[in-house]
Amino acid sequence: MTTIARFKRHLIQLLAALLCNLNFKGFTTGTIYQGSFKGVCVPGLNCYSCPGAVGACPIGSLQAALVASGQRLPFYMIGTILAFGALLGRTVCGWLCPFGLIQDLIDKLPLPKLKKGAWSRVLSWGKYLILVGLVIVAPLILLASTGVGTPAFCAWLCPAGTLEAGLPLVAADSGLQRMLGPLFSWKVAVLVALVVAALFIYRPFCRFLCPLGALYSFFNRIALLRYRVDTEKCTDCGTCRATCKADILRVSDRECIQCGNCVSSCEAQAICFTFTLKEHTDEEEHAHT
Amino acid sequence: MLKQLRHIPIGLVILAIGLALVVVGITQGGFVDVLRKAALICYECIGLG
Repeated sequence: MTTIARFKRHLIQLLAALLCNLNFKGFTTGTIYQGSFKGVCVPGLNCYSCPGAVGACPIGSLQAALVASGQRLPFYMIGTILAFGALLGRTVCGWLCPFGLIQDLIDKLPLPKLKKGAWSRVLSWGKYLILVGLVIVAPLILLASTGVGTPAFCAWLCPAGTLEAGLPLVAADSGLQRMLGPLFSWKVAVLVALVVAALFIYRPFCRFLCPLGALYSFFNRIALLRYRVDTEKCTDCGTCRATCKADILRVSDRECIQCGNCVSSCEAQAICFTFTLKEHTDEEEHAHT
Repeated sequence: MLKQLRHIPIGLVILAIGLALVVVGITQGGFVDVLRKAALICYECIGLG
């Protein structure tokens, strides 16, 4: 990916972050937007308790819908995830997620970076464990056992909630400051650990822990907008895999966040970012890149 | 006809299913469930339990 193209991606990331957080007034008053648009999910991980947030976080909403739905299936949230996934897949991670942008910016700091390898490939399964354990199973178990459906991922792990909502709201509200306890300390510790990790590892939260990225990864090979490889041009040189900062085995597999860093490294110019409504049976499915 | 249907990308089919489920979900009150959660400060999310 050329410098201009990378700058374009960061610009879109910034615009997406701004669009998701248009309630600027909230940052000064320490309040959140409460209009009816809050019932609509944004595609990326953006805490709905962020003072600026004008939409809902898909993961927080999925947990809330699971525990609120009782005997019926949470069709609204399942449909939302399916629609975002089918349309964009993990393009959301690379281009639209505010927490991804923060990690991308941290990665710009000129520090020694830990290279990916077998260790990071193994850790990349962590996000699926978190999706099943903290997003789906734990809230339902807690609901059944205590009667309160705690959104376990938001409560115990989500660093976006701490950064985008916890810190600004607590800073602005002395009432909230008096409520601080061990859970807040734990969440700040998780956030600090992830920020430190992001100094040396490329997007550690997205690659190893994010349940939303895990959900979207199931759609990455079939999303309408994604990087595609022209098998007629591809020489199987493996440069794209080597250039990629994530743990891809091939372009647009489950680990690909669609950042496009591989495009400029491909001497055969076989990789392109396209939105198509036509089925391409001859390309990319078996492309070993 | 069937041959033409085979050329519809699976992503488009899933997108259509997703949008249909969103509509069904709205009629079931799913939108209100999300709004009810998102319009109030989530104490779990900010670390206050």
